[in-house]
Amino acid sequence: MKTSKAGSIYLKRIKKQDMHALLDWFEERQSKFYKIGWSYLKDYHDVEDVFHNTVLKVHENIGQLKQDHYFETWVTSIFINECRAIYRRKNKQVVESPPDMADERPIEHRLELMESLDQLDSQHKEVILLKYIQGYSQKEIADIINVPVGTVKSRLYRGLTMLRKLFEGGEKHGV
Amino acid sequence: MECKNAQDQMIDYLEGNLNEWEKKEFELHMEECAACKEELVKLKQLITSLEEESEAIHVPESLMKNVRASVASTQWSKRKTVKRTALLGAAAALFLTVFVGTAIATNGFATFADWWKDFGNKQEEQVENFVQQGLGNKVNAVAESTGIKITITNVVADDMQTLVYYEIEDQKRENEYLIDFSQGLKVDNQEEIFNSKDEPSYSPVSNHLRLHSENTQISKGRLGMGPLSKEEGTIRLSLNKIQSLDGTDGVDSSIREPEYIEGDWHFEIPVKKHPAIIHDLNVETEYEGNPVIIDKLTIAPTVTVLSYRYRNENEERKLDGLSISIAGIESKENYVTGSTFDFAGVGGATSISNGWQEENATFESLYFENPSHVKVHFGKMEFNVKEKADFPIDPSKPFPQIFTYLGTKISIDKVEIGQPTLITMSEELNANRVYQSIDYHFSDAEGHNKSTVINADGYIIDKNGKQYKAYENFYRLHELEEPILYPTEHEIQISREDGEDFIPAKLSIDGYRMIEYNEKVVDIPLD
Repeated sequence: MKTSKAGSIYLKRIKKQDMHALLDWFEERQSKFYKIGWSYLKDYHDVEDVFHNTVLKVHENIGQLKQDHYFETWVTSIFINECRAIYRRKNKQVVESPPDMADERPIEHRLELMESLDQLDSQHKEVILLKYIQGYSQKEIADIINVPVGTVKSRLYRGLTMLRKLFEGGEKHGV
Repeated sequence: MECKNAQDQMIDYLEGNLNEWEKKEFELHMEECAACKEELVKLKQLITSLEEESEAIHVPESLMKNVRASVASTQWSKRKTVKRTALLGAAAALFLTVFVGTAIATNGFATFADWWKDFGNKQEEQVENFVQQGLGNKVNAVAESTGIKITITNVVADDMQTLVYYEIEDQKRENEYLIDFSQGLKVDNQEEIFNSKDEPSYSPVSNHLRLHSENTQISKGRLGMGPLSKEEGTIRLSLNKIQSLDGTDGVDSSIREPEYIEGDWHFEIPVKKHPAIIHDLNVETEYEGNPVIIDKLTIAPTVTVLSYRYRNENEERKLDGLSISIAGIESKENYVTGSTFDFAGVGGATSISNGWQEENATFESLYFENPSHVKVHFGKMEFNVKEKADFPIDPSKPFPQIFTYLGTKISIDKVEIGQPTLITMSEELNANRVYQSIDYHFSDAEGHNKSTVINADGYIIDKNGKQYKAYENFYRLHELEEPILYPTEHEIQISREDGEDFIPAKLSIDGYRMIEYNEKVVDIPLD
């Protein structure tokens, strides 16, 4: 996640707390961030809130960025944190009830996989969506969630295996 | 190869991360072991499906437009914290690093210098008090490099923040220096002592405050850091450069590039964290028809934090970009208000969740009193009103060019076309002014409109109609009764991304912001 040359011009302005530059930077990467947000929260309005909160946090705390080339990693880690915070709060509101696959079986195959992903705990869900929905490398993910690369690897494997079981289980149930 | 090893390598195999030899070994096992082979195939399918899912996620067109609007609205409503806004931003930034000695006494106010001195003295008294009460540690960690002596004098730590006080003395008595918290500073054991797990690339230092020093040879400051992750420990602080204050007195340092001197200073700062008193409240109330929930009152040794949230729900008076502030907390012995510079990285953070706007308002500490009940005084309510107007600008004609918006004269006083283009704009302030501030932008004939406000000034008017020049008094805004800050002068800087000159063709006003004060006090008993 090296900062590109164009990116570094933005960064110079962003570091001077230029909100326009920051919003432009986000606009260029909106698809990247949106994918993470949507896979995490499945709610457009929630993702908008995550964008909003992340932009403000980055703007406010830009002075705390230690190394320029970590900028995107840093922003992504804030973004993931915001997703996590909103996800937790929402889950608190809904009284924990296991999803009933038989009654509310989604029609589309597409949704099923994403719903299975949603049933993973956040540790495993996060690495999977950073890796396969977003396409970050193991090293980048390690920097974003601040764990060793080895941990990312084992979470990816465990996460995929769990996801496979959930997904296949759901499929069988539906047949 | 055993199945366990093959499983460990599956992810790397699929990503193509294995070397030739490893790859061969792995593939050999796949040929031998049907179970592993099946798993590999299934995982590969799963990954392909996930990647297809990713491809299928499309960004809604309105996303960034909505994000820009909500960010603008929040920013607008955050003007109460001067340091984060363009309005007076330069002055505030200046205050945080270098001291300006040019503020003039107005309207019975002491000078900025007096106020600042008093603030510094209060800080010192407070620190001594902390040390006496066992809540702070005297450190006296000294390090010397290139003839400059830096002393970490005291440290105070609680659940909300960690404050490190320091002094810098130039042995050659040539210059004054300060720590620049964003450069040349490192906490060597950051991961161990601060909870950096959530935000790995954050520096733990979130702010810096220059403090008044009686002795001109010694400069003093305070570093504000987040709370420690453990109860007790040692902060290993390293500095490799510090900012020189030479020649910056009274000069706008936000425009000048700061100068640094390099060196090598290391400190071991023993520190002990003191717990805050936390009151979970969950008090439901309303403000002008909008539901407000006061969630929590945290009373730490260094700061009081009130966590509350509100929803914009008054159907009869739909207020766009609503912001509700708390003016102060009254206890039996105290009335504490928020101060722009008193607190470190606590508070100010605002987030939206499910239609609730969440805020953490910070106030001076009530720790020593530990009140058994408090009165929460609500402060101002801010909101936006949409009222569009466009005014054409003709750069070929002489300036000022004057327009009227809702009865207020707005004047474009000067336009200097260049890289960037500079525009000076002023707004009339008289009894007829209906709004607090306008939401405006300039655009050129081709619709380019990215601008930065580099400076703004205006007047603060209090409850009794008394006027104060904003630039000279912004730092004590919270000491006034029901103050409203009216911008009157703006300097705007605009440049085009493509490098062409920006030639303004139009001033567009999207709407305006209003501030209202409504008397409201909520009585809260604390367990």
